[in-house]
Amino acid sequence: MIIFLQSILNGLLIGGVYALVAMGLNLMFGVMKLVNFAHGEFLMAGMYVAVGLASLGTLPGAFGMFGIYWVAIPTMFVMAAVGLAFYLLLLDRAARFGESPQILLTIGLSIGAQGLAQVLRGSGFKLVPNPINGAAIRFGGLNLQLGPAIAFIVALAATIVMAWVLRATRFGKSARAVAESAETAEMLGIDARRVYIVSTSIAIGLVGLAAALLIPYQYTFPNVGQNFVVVAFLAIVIAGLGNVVGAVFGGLLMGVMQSLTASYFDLDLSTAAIYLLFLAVLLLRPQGLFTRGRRTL
Amino acid sequence: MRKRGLSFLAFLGTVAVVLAPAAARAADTVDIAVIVPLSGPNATVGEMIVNATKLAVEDINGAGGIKSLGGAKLNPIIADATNDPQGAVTTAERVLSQNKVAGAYGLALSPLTTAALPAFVKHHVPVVTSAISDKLVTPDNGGYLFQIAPKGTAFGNQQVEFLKFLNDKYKMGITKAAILYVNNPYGTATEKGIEQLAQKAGMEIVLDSAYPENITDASPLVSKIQRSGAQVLFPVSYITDASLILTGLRSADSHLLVIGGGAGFIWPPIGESLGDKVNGLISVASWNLDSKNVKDESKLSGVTQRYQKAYGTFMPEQAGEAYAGISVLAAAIEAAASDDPAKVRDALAKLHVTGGGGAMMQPGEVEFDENGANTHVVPVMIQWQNGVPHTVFPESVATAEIVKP
Amino acid sequence: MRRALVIFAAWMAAAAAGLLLKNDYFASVATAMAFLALWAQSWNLLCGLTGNISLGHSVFVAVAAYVTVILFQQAGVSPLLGGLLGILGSVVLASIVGAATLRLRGPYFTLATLSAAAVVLSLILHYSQLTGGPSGLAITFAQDSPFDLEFTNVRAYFLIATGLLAAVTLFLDFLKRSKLGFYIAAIKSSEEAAAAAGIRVALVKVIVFCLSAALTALGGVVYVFYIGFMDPNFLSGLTLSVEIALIAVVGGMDYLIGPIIGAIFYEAIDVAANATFGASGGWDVMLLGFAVVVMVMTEPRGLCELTIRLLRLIHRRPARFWS
Repeated sequence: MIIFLQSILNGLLIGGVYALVAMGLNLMFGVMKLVNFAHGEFLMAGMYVAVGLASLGTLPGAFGMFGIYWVAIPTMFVMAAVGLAFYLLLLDRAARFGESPQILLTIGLSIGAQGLAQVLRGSGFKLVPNPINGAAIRFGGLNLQLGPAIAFIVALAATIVMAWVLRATRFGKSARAVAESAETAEMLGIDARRVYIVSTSIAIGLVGLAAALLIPYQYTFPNVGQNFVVVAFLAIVIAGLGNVVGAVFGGLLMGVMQSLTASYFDLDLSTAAIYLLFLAVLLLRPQGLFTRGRRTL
Repeated sequence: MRKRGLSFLAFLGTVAVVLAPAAARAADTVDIAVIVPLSGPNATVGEMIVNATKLAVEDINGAGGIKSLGGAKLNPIIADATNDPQGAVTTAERVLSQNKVAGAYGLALSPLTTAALPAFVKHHVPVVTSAISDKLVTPDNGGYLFQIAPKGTAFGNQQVEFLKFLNDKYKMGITKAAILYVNNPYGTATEKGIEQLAQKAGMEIVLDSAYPENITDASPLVSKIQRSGAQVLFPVSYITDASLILTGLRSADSHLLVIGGGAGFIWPPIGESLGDKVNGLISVASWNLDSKNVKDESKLSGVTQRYQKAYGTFMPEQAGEAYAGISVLAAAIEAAASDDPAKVRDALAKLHVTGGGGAMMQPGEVEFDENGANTHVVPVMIQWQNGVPHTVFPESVATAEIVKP
Repeated sequence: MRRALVIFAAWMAAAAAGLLLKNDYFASVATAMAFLALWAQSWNLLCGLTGNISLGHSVFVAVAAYVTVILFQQAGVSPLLGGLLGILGSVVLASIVGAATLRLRGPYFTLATLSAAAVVLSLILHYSQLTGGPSGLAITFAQDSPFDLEFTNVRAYFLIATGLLAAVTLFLDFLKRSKLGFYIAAIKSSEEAAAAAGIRVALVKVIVFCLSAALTALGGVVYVFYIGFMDPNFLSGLTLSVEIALIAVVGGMDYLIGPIIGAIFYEAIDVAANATFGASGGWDVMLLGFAVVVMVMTEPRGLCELTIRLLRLIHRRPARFWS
């Protein structure tokens, strides 16, 4: 029983991480219908920014072991700026391309970014020593690893904030309108391009947040994005592409699935299990598990 | 005026003609190829090798180069083997077709080495490798491969030998073992060694499982380990998984004995990320910087210090092997008195190194058998102490006392 | 007929050039280009039709290759026969995947194909007793054995690869003018209209999927004998699938020779970057990726389109000058 609970718990935690990583990806897809294959590399870039800041120092005293998390805010802002640049330099023009060239563009960007990271920061694996790495909360016979747990909490918080933004702010409403139909939105006076710009910045900013939460216990290296990006894609499709709130549940589901299969079956089949789950959902309920019919955001 | 100018030119011309052959001879170089992954996830390994190559070449040339070739200087041609077999083959073909190399060092990973080997055989260029797969040193490998590292199974064997040693020394009474290995050629080769010997040593293997490469979470692994009731864990992991497994065990408040399988457990990143908490960690290694053969030889320990100074970390396993490998290659070229790779190959096959840079490889002598395997090498067991791995086993090469785990 | 002659002549020229090449390096690069072009052509058959992007095509290479080599090494079955069985295996897989993904569009389709390849890779790695697991399988031979697809001279593989490429290109050209080709064109312009006209859209799509898989598999079977070593992470991996898709799109999905141009462009930049910057740690990869980005931003419809645009520009200038 304990094993089962622990597996579920582990799954939820890792799922929270996936969800956090996937959130920005989902926003970009929902609003711009763009599948950003370079998403993992934005995560990687955010991690390098966060690690760079973290090596400058951690907050002292009152913050105790959480001192390293101060990097989250600056990283978010830096990455939001990167997102802005990404849109203005590349996506603005690419919006007029077909789907295939767009995907190709992000694939090329992904490859190039991995090379660039190696050129700028070398191939080494970086992890700033900090008390979060290896720390856990233990209760009953269960243990909660602190790094993933904090990421999980932030993922939930971010989802709530995003949900509020989408529902209550003017930007959010414009974004939803554009997500449903860019043409109609424009006709109603919404500047779709402005929505795209802000969405991209927010999306990449969210990735920056995810990155900051990963660096206390994950190594940063040029190809690190590749380990997260595919599962992030699977998570958002399972949740329903474009469904920002649902992405959390998608991530959690994938995490639990991965954890349960690894715990009870052969470890090396746990990846196959996620993909099979994904295929099953895709074939049986392609609009995603957590959408009601044709909801787009 | 012009006449004097002309005669001066004539004078220069004569000088040039007279000096040229001497100059040409002094400018003689011997090319060797160093083909290792320099991009992608294994670039960090390639970098260690290239760093060591530079030091080795510096030392060899500084000591007079290849004396049997008139003091010819060694010139390393460094190339990126990439991450996939196709890239490895294309790179090997390029380097071997466009240059006249006397020998090569590469490709660090078993799949890349296996894929590129036919190109080396075809061009008759011997390649010294740190890849550990047992399948590389078989009779049908073409005779051009020389494995300076211990075989994968030897790795695994040594881990169990060490457990037996600990069991005896500290009366630990460990009988239940868990083996967790990354699902790649390195992991599978090492696992085989562990499994073989553990069985023979009468241990009960309560868990023997492969896990996928590039995991981002080790908690299911830790769950499995705890459930199995194992008293010792033999993990074989790369960098990120090693860290995730160790921190996962710590989160679960596990006091399991861990005997690592090299790679992620012995390279600098784990020391950097765990800080003080890495001390006490035990692992097997192909090479370590303070084995007796290195420590007792001031020139060699000097190399490890220069590495530290130049590159900011202690000299890691792959670097030490590369230093030894390049030196062995140079020794073979020296013995062959020729830069014809086929002759160098023959020299390598007959070589018996007991000194110089090649003695960097424990136990201080290198010889290859008919399949290219290093007959003398033994894997070492290291324990991290004060943030650096120290050699603690076997006795023949140990220089540090074990701290009770 | 004329097109067929042109393609045949081009093959003869390429083959001759390849055979005359003294340098093994250029021969190996050209062979790699040929295989990539072959796979990209096969990929384009499916993706040019549906407009979807498959990022799982490497699975057809892997399935056929493993079936062929396992049968060869463990049951002594000749690769010629084994290859047919391997291709059949890929086709069976394709029919399942094709049928299952019929209704999927865009990113859904892409991720489904990606997942299929990942599942198969996982299985190959898991059932290591049969497949050799992560260490893969080595195909070693000392002498030529044509019926076993074993040639010691790599140029033989170059000949076969370019021959297959020419044959596939010819086949695609012929297909365009066949009844099936007509159905494909109809479906491409409007699925509903095609269905209304009585075309069995689902069936055509699955057939195209299977054809695409079969041609990819054919290349795969020959490829593993050429490279002599089967690395499952590469053969059923995302990297290869992405390369194949990238090549076809960069070359130009709307053109018959698009994938061929794409393969030449991509591989040329890849090896040039490696040769120049390989030792510099990351520059070669960076260059390749950003070359693709620049290419796409300049002309999203591919190199062929770009070439035509340039030619039009050149041709137009004299006219403007005089008028």
